[in-house]
Amino acid sequence: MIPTSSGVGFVPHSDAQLDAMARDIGLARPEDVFSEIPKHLMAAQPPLGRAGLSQDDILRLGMKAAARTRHDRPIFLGGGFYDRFVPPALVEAILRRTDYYSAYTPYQPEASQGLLQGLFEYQRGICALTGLDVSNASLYDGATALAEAVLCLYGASEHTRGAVLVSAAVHPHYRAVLRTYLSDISLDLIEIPYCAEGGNTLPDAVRRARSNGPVIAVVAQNPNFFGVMEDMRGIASAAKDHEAGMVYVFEPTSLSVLASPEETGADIAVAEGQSLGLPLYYGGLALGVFAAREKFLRRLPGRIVGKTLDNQGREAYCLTLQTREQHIRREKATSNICTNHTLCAIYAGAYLRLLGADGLRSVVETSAARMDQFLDGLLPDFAAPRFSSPSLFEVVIRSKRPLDHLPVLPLRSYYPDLQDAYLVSFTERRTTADVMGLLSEISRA
Amino acid sequence: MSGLFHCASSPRVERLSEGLARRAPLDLSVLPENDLVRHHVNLSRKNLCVDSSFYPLGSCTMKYSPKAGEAVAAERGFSSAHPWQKPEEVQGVLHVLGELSRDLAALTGMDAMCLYPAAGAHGELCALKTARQYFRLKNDPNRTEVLVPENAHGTNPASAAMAKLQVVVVRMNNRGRVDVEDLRKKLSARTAVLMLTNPNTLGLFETEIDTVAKLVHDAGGLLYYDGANLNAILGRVRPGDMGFDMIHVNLHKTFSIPHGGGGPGAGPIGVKAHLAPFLPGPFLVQESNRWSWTEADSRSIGRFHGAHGNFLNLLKAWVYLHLLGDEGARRVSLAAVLNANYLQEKIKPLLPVPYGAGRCMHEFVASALPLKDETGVSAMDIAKRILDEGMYAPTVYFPLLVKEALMVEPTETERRETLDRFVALMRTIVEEARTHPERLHDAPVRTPVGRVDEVRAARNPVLK
Ligand SMILES: Cc1ncc(COP(=O)(O)O)c(C=O)c1O
Repeated sequence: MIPTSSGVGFVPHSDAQLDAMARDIGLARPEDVFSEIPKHLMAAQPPLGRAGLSQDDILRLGMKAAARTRHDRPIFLGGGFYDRFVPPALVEAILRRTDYYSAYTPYQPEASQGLLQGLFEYQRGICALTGLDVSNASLYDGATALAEAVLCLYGASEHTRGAVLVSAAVHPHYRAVLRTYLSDISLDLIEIPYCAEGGNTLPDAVRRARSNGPVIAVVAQNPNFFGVMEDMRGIASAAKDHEAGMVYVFEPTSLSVLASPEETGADIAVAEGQSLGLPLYYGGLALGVFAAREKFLRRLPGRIVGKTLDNQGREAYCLTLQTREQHIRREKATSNICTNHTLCAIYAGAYLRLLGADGLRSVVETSAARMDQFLDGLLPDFAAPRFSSPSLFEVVIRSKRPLDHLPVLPLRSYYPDLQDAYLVSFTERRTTADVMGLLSEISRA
Repeated sequence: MSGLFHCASSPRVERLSEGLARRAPLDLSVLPENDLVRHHVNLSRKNLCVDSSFYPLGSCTMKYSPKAGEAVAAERGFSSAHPWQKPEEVQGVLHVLGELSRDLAALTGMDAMCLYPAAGAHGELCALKTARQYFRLKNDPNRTEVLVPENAHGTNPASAAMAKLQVVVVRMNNRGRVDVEDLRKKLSARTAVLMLTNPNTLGLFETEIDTVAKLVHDAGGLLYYDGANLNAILGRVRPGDMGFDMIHVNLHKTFSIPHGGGGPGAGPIGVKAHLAPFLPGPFLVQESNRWSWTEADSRSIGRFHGAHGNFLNLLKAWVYLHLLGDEGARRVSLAAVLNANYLQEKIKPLLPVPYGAGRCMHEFVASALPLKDETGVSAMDIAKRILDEGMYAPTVYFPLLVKEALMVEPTETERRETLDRFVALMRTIVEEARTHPERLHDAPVRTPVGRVDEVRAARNPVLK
């Protein structure tokens, strides 16, 4: 291979330089640094079985792989991840800003003030949105944030065993991840069926649910997986009757118009933060949002940034309340979280400031307006809304013919009782023409 | 609105019922686009990062992240792929995931990979739950103990606790390796897993790994590899060949993806064949050149991520491994370990390296204890003084086994000149400790803020 200025493996040393460094510390050859590794463990064959590519080659290969993604038509897929407008300003100033992305967790606050302040502003934005007192500095994604919320309530309760009531209209993947997290723990996961007609969760169904032990948590999502708006006040009050904590799973932009978790009486609010203008990346640039009432502060999972002073009395930021965390408390920590999703959090915090309350409301209104146009144009001969309760910007339709060839989400694999149902999601990026196009596809199905 | 997108209004939103609607005002301290960009550009400048500075943060492998990864990630076919698109519409995405799985399995000596975990700690929990399920279905449910060496990373015991496993601490011997006698005593029919990183957190290769593996397996337990420290052995020794049954790898360390100032990272796990059915589903499968997802059966622990893991980062690792090839992989470990040994030998005359008698691997741990006893200057003071010279500081006070620890990991992407500059700085600092200790207690003075009052932050939390 022709040596390049990048060096093989991005190692800047030439062979001669490696030799010289080895000699300088008294080694005959560079490979002698491995002298403590038992010889028989050394791999017999090169594991990858191939040579390195040039940068030019990999760019071409990447382009080819990317070209296999279908994006010649507008999508109406949502279900937790949304095709929102991604502001170029935030991509440039945050996602692709190396001063942010090539740093590690801000262990040395004096050399990491930018990251810390960015996270602090994110926490402030999330508290404003949810109305709750405290936000952490992010978790991995919405589903794991829900699991952490339930574990947080469990840890804060005096009980060693009990039950968690989860609406069946909570995202199926969130319920699945929660089930995995709880699988070794003495908490029964009890699903509360949604109302077959309305598609909503009835507070009375929550209230009537019976469990063997105390109910630790009640979980509902708003708008729920079907896009239907829930009576979160009613559900939270049913949770109170059980003396359980209430977890509100939210979609961030919707809180510009829907009752905040605080207003409904929720204790913890979690969300998938991708819908705060982050690019989709196949669901792989996620953001776990987690906010709670003050009384849970000492039990919060993950990093928290606090504002303080430096030795000159100037405002400064640092990671704080670390006695909750794994590096100090080890097996007694409130969670095992170490690396979180800082870059996404800073981005989300900036998105909130770029759009503000009015902008977020426009996102919701525009998305809702497209859904209105869709529902207005939907001909009962072909398809009709499945549920009677109102949606916000996603709706389940029942179709006479299969729509699996269209960019909408079939629900039958998640809900056996919804064989002919599809979740159709709208965002502010969809146009009237997009909606008309979908309608005509449905009528031609 | 400012024209970010075409707006429409909806009576549906205007007519929301009392019970559903938000009442409280929403104050998000809006900034115009221009000012917001300026705000963040200026904030970002208040950080040291790998692209600006030497970043010898031990256990974090802060190597250069190739920009080719960023370039490939910018492709619209990746950035706009929706996680619920049908497999035939995202074959390129699935191809990347499939190839990466295969490569990671080959490099670690494992049979099956799971790419869902979003970080190292997430991978640990995933693997421990997988192990528990394995024992449960083998009708051996009383294996509920996880053995961790006393110098293990904090996430190891914390993950064990989240899987409701009891932590049993195994002592280290005076050579900085697992004390085999103590291990023997602590292994029992209750042992589920021994979690180990090799090289360990002192930067030392566990030379008795064969014995350790045999003891654990003879006791009926599984051997778990914390892959945070894989950089030292990349392309040379495979955890699978050392007897490990499971592993997590931090792609944000060895595999060069940028750490994002704290994340997102990615922490895929790998397992030997006997553990594969218990991994989280759905599984990625390839049939006659077509990739798709297939649901796991009831042996699986269930889903572990809301979508399919941190695809953006998995993609960057795919790019990196294609750039490396076998020769590159071996070059990485060679230069990483040589750089660390070079630095260790140069630092030793300045600060003792308590377990530094032999060869270190990718990192080493120096101690400021004697210097502190002599001058009052602590490891933290040294770290802060380093920041003043525009370099990031080593990891301090970890691992706990070394008092006043400074854990130094130079990585392979640093030139000798950079290492020499670091050594010169450490020499100056040690001299200053003797002549002007106050300069170290007062450091840093050239960073955007001075020494931050962390005690005050915790006493009076201001969090928003
Ligand atoms: C040895 C070791 N194990 C585990 C972890 C946890 O990884 P993550 O931060 O990705 O969760 C780290 C990270 O610092 C580590 O150094």
